[in-house]
Amino acid sequence: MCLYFNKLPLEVFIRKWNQETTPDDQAVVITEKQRVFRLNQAAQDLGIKPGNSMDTAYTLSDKVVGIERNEDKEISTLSHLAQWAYQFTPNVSIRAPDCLLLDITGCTNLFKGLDALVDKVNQSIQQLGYQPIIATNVTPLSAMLTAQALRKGRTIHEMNSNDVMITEAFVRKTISHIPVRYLHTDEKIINSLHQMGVHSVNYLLTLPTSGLLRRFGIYFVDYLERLLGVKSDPQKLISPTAKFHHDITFLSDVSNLESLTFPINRLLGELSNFLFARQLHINHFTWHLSHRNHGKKSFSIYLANLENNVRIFLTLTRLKLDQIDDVKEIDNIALSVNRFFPARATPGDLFQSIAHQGGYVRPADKGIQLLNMFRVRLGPDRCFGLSEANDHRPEKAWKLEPSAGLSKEPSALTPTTTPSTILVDGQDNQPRPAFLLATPKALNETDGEPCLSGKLTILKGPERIDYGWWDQALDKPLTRDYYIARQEDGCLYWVFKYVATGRWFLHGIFS
Amino acid sequence: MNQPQTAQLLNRDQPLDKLLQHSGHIWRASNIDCGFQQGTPSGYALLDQHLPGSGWPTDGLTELLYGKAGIGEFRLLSPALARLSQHQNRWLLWVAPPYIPYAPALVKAGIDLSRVLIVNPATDEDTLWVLEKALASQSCSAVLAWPKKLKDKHLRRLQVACKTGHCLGILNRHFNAVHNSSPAELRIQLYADVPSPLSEHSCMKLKILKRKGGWATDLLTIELGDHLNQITPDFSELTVNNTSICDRPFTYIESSTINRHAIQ
Repeated sequence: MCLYFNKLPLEVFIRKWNQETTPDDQAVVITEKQRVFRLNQAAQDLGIKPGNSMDTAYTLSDKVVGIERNEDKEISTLSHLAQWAYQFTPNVSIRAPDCLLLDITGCTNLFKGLDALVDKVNQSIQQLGYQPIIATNVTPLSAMLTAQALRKGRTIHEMNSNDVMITEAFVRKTISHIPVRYLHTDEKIINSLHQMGVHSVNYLLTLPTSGLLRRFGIYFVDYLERLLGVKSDPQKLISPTAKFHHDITFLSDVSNLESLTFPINRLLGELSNFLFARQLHINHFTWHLSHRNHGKKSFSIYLANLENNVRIFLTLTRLKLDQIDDVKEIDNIALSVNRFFPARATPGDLFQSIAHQGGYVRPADKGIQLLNMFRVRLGPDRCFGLSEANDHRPEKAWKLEPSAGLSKEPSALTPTTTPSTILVDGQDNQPRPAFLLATPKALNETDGEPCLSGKLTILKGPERIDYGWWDQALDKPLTRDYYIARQEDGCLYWVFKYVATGRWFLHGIFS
Repeated sequence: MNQPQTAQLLNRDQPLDKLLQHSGHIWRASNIDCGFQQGTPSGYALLDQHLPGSGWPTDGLTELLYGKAGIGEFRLLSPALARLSQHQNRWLLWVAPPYIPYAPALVKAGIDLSRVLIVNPATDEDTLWVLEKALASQSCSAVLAWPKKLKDKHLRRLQVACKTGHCLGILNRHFNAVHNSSPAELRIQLYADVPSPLSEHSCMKLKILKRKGGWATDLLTIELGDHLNQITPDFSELTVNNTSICDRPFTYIESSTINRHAIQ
């Protein structure tokens, strides 16, 4: 069976609008390179023809809506439709740009005959808002040819035999009337066929094969043989996208979340088998708790790393479950995962146990597990790493690393001996405080000297930082002189003075 | 106490001896040298001399008690932290630090930033949970924490967790807690100190209040290797038209400079 979406460029846009928003008489044209490419019935009625320029279209009517063609969207729509077609048969293949081929040999009985099946397909795709031309034939290419040669509607060629000879005769009969210009081959071949006076497939097929082979080459003959079913024509079938959704419904309501451990364990076990069989890892999964009267409650668990270890999932789920207190009772629990990643083989480190003292062996991903637990219980924004930034301004010389542990850390095999540093020239010898205040604190002054619960003695300085005028307000003072100051009792602080205003601020603590 | 006498004393039927035998948490002054785990060198020779295991304990809780930040508590720990971060493939965890640990300073101290993980729990309860999990996880080489409230039973749990996780657990607490009993293995009170003008480094005083296999020490003065007591040479006199830029910044250090010259 072939579904030929001849209006696909149009349908990807119009379908969304529905009948309510766009009345049928709204003329819509799809343009490609400023030329009309496809158009709807209303536009045709106005007299617009494919190949017209947009100016022509606007001249004919000022109500024409022109949309630039979007091929990426067509392809993605087509693959989406292929997934949809998977409900009818497991053997679906995509013929870009606008055809779907469904092998329905094995499933006509299931749908009670070919007619019923075509009806069903047609009905269900009309509901989606598409109007493809549907044609069936005994070989994939002949079905496609039949569909494309049709103007609209559908046609069914049914045959109940697997014999090659009968198949060939059948195809010859069904496609004999089709003009040669619909063949899927070079423009050149079609032109020369026309020049030879061959206008329909019927005549073409009566020509001797050896002559065609000499004249048009092996590819064309091969195509004809596949078309007729003399040669087998294996199709590249789509595979259904992986998705995991399992649920357990309880006969009686469960009010104690603690007692969910057992069903959770079972669902995770199923997930484990699923992941193991497909060699997949996941980085996030979602639990849905629902009750027929109370509606649904979902919570997602994000992992710091790609994982397939169910024991970790269980620990994290328990942690999250402890925090849930607004669910009174449930009668259904479901686990779903939408995104999967291929598993990467990570060899264990042979020398892991030597990497640190103590002589005990630690699995390389224990640190990641710890991070996962923190993230789940405290929220993802409450734990982070640090890194240096390349900026002279002290408050911008560092940044948070919210994704700490995702790529390089503890799983790195060799301990780094030299910390990675970005040395901002001239600053590498200047001392920096271990703690930085998020916002500088204004200091009191006596006789122009800074005070912080007592007089501050300046030890070192000034270190001038005059940088970053481009992202500061113009009226804000810019140039700062940094000093290290000691309180009377010996505590060390990092203070600065705006050169322009002479105001003192505390910026850091030499802890 | 000589050997035969000890053997005589260990009568297995006596409840007291049973207790001494079976619980590993009671030590006697007589077995002072046994069972110390090698600690992580603190980087300060004087401190190492006084610490059991010649360094920070790697399987027990350490309490640092002091009044306010800025007296050198991080500078005291930084050599050990740098060492841990470079030699061990584990997290260096900061739990609820009072301010942002400043990345450039950590790098300057030799700490590998890729090992640093900071956790800011919202509640005290979460803080304790994080601490216990982190200490026991075996995936942290050091855990620095600034807990707000700690009860005796919390400390006991943390101490046990620390033993499981082989991790340097450091609690920064206010010195008000000095007189509360604590199951922590090592308790040190820190005092700020003003170094002599001659010294290149700043310094701090500390007193070990509790340690395994030893009594409390007297005040020790530790010279921190931070080069922070150096005085920047005054170039302002050399430049001519620079008064507006340097706007009297060196008047404050004149007294100490003069002192140094006087002594020399």
